[in-house]
Amino acid sequence: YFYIYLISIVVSILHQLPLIENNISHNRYFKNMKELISVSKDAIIVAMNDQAYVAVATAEDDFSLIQLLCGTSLHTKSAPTVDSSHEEKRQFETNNIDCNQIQAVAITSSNANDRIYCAVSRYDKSLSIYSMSNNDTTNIKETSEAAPILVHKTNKRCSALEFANISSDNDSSNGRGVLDVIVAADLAGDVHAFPVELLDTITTKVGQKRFLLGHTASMLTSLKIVHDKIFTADRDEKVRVSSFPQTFEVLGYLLGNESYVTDIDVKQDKYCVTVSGDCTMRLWDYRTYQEILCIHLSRELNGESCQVSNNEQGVDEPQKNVRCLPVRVCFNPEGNLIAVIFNIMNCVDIYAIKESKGGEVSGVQVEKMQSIQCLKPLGMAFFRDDLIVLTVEPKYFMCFRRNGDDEFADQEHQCKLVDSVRCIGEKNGIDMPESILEMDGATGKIKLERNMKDEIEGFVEHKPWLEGKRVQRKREKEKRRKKRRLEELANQEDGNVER
Amino acid sequence: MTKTDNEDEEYGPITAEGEMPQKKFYRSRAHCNPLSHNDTFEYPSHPSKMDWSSHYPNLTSSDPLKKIVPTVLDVGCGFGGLTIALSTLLPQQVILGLEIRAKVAEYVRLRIVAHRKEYPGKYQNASVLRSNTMKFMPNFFEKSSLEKIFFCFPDPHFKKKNHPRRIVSDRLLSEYAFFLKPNVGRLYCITDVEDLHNWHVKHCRAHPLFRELTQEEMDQDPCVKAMYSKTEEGKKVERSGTNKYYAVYQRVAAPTVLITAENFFDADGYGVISENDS
Repeated sequence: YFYIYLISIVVSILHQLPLIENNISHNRYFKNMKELISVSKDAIIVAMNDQAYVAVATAEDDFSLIQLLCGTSLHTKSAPTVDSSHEEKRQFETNNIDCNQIQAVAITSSNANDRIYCAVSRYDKSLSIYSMSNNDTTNIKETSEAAPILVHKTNKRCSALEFANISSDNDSSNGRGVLDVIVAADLAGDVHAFPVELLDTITTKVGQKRFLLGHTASMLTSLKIVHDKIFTADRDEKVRVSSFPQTFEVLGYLLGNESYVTDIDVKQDKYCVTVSGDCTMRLWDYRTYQEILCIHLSRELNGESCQVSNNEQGVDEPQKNVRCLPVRVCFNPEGNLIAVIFNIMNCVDIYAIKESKGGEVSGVQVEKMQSIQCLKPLGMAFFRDDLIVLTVEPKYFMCFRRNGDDEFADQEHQCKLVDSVRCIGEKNGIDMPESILEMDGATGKIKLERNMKDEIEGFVEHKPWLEGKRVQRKREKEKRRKKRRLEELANQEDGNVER
Repeated sequence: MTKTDNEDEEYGPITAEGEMPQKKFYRSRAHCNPLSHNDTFEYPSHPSKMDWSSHYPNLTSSDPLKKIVPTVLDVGCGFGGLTIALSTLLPQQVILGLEIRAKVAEYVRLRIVAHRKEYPGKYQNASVLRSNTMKFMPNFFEKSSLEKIFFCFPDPHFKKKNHPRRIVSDRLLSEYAFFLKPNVGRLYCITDVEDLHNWHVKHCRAHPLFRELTQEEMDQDPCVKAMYSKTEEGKKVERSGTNKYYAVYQRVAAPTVLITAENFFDADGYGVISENDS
């Protein structure tokens, strides 16, 4: 009977998986992982807690898995002073954070040579670069390991990474770049570019980096580089479009969001989509910096519904709708689908873009095509024809492909990559985070939100120039002072007379 | 709180509208944290939604299609000495002073109202706005809409960890260049701290969209004289007898340097940071 009792307790605990979970367990407060999955032409990089894995596509459905190791400080900038390293260690200990936690990942296939570069930025402000060959098909069964070729130290934690090419002076007609750099956006609002490899011709020291642009007094949440433009989104509702690599030239701002921007994605020729903390998804034409349409994302508590509005028309949301906070968005490679995932919700929404007949930008319509049920997705990407989603345990990884009805269906048992990633997760007992937004331990709110003073109970805005009392007080004080002075003079005179 | 409300009803605000305010009631701490995320500022979501007519009620635009927008900015205007002086010096431009401290911004607003009352017809083109220049400029101003930006005696923020709070920096220069009209727009900075002046010169020279004006060009510009002598801080510095250092930069249309793979990590390029640099 004792064993039956134990088993029944365990089973009852496992069955507690509500649809929308509102309680966030305390020990997951401080994790701020943003980009956990990234794809390039032939490879996928995923971050699972503090380990990163790269899957290089070899044959039709086969992948070779490589685990990316943390680098020790092989080449870093001038060593931190003793005091600062003690402080950092103390900070990590009190917060119980593994300082190898991954903040962002990025991967690219280099144009110049046949190599794949990936970058991983971790909580301890290190940015590690790994390089692997595209043709390495030796280890398919086992997971091989790779050490970083270069480790940079950033000033603040990076929230977004992207690889980029800088074209050469001579090659201006040829689109292919010569210099590969990794561009990192950090939580102080700055975007820096670091070299990917140490080449004798271009860089000499490891510590060299270039400051590209900065959003002052704000945190950067997302970064995208498209051809000759760079898009940066920040906590103050702005998306800045600058020229690349002439990043000192600002081309425009996409303004219109009412809360912090959580993610952006850019399609090659004209569209940019943003999702933000005001629970909307907006589509922009970045050639004119105009907002094309705005979709309010919400769903009913019992079923699903989505309110769509175009530009100025507002739609009243009925009371029982729950606003969903979108955290990631991406276009598919053709550019006709948008995928959105939300904060602590068990679904991935797919929207279809319908261009207007005449091709004008204002006639574009976006409609919800499908809502895929999936346990708490943390990151997603379109890889070739599939939609891959990184989620929490016990599934860790899911793969969806469009079937005959043009709907995405779970490829549970047909995708080898899913099986291998799941094996790794189960074998190592990896604990995935609940949410990729950072929560403030004290207030329990999302750190990106503004801590408005109005919300503090009893707060009255201080406008001292409206208090006329101060003038009266000063006048009375002067009167009193004058009286005292006259009395003193009178006393002195009396004293003189007496003498 | 009800007690003070009753007392306020009896006394009213310190300065009535139209009366010249007295500085002693509007003194405020000199330093303010511009990087704070939790300050409550009001700003429009898009510059086209900003209505400036409440700031310039009696100003009518010469061109009925164009709205009134500010063209000259005094960033960190303090008690408003330069804003008032520029209003008569540049009667065709629309002057706006930006100040982050609430009390001081209120002082300038009352001062402008008092001036408008005392000299009818004048000072209609000057106003003040309480806002954080570092964060909210894109919300208020359109691209290439400003002709002059003044930085008079900004907070030096001596400590190295506070350097990102300086009002003239690599990041912000790109934004200022976005708002200034090419070939016409000018950036003026003046300070009495030599270290800060060197910082301004170093960063403005390294920025590919700005060109430094020669001494003759600066002498021909009447705004330089106004900036030198008309600010409150400037008068204080004159009384104490220390030097003032100034520089003026013109916004050029095309960048002076193109970034390519060869010079991306060059030591003197805009934004290149090597190990020992600050």
